[in-house]
Amino acid sequence: MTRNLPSAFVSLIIAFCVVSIANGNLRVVGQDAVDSFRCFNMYLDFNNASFEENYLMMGAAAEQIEYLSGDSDVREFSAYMAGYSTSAESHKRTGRDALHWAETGAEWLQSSVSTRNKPFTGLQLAAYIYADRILPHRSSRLVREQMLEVYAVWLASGGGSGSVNHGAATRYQDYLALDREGRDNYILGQLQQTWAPE
Amino acid sequence: MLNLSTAVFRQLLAWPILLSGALWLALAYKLSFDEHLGAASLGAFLSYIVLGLSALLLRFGYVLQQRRQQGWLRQDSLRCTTTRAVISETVAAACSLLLLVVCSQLIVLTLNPRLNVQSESHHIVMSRVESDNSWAFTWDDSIPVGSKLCLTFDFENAPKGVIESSITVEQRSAPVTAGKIFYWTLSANDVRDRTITLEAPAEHNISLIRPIARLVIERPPISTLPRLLLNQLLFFFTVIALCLFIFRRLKVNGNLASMGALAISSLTNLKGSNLLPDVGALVASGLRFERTALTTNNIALFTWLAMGAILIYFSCKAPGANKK
Repeated sequence: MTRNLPSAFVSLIIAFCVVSIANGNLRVVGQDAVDSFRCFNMYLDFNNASFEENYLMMGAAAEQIEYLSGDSDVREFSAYMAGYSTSAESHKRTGRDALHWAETGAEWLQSSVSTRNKPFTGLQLAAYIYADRILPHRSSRLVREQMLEVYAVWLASGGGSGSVNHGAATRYQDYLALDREGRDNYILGQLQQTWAPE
Repeated sequence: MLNLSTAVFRQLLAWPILLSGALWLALAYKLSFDEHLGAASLGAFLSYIVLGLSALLLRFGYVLQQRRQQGWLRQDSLRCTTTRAVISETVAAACSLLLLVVCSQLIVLTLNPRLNVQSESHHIVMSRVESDNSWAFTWDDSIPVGSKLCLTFDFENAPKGVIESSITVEQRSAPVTAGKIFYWTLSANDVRDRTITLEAPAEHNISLIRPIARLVIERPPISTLPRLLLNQLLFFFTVIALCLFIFRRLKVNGNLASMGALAISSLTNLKGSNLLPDVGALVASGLRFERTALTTNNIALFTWLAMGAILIYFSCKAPGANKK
């Protein structure tokens, strides 16, 4: 019996590690490789889905990729493809279909706030989807408020890093100088100026 | 002793194993640096190398068990069988891992892959609201000194005309401007404590847009690869020693010993445990690589290596280890 004690002890440690991995308290050596491989496969799925224009699959793969690697760009791309680009009138979608996908795209962007690796990713796109694809078909107060909130957050985050959006900080300061009603009108004015042509 | 080392080495890296290793390296390179689908990150490549090293360790356990069953081939030629056999096996195992590491370095050096063009990576850190105007952030991993905390503040409820405020941490202070992302460079103390509390003047009434911050960490350049691979080798040195100790001293089956050694070494990553030195970052790879690579402090590293040396010493003292 004592002869088997060391083996039992080692087996117990292995069992403890397995339980800790399942609990999420431990990352075993080599586990990152499995995640990397999963991530590679997810990119492959995402790529295939985008070729096939399977937006639900794109959204699902993007969610997994974001969870595994923290890369939010794929989420933004899938929301753009499903909810903005192909919802344009030039794509000959029915109005109902276009609205459905626009709402889905906006929902994808809103649901990933806490997993987004960069604070500014997807905010501007979400505001444009609300303004350009949802509001013209569904004039709800809630949608309008969400649009205003998202755009204000985008302004507050400086419009992203780099020099592309360097004017956002000044615009946010102009926005802050106004009263509550003036702020909403300011955002609406900004969105009207920058709406992308169909 | 050299003959025995060579024999064990050749048994460890038989032709099929060498071929599999070469294929694994090619696959690792493709999966990591594929032009369209690869992560273009050293972390992804290193993660596959760690998996290769782990597989070699399991193979080492299998070979040890085989040698025990075969009656310790060639060990009779040694004068001091126990001590020299253990050292020979350690040398053979270390050399086989070294071969994989050198080949990994060579493949990257030769093919010179394109890495992610962004020099910084972003990682999420959740906050705990201490009060209306102060926020505490904590993180689990050790991160490099000089990393920055990236925050977005909302001035929506600030008094009219306030577009500038300040953020204070203990004695240090930095200005924050409305509409600009705020970056706080973490000091050595912040990094060591793994927590930071930011405070803003209460009268400005500014708040965080979301209760999260991002850690902005510089990506290790490709020139750090030799050091990163060396770190992996140093980590596995103690794992080999652990495997030999379990096998020789505790007389456990070789396969179980190698799995046990991997499991015990993984405990360095166990959350909230200080049983083992904090050397998990030596094998930093995959998605956490950019966050934790090259952050192991020297004391932890030398403690880990000393543990390896002590384990080998005790393995050498194992009574009757050369007997069938």
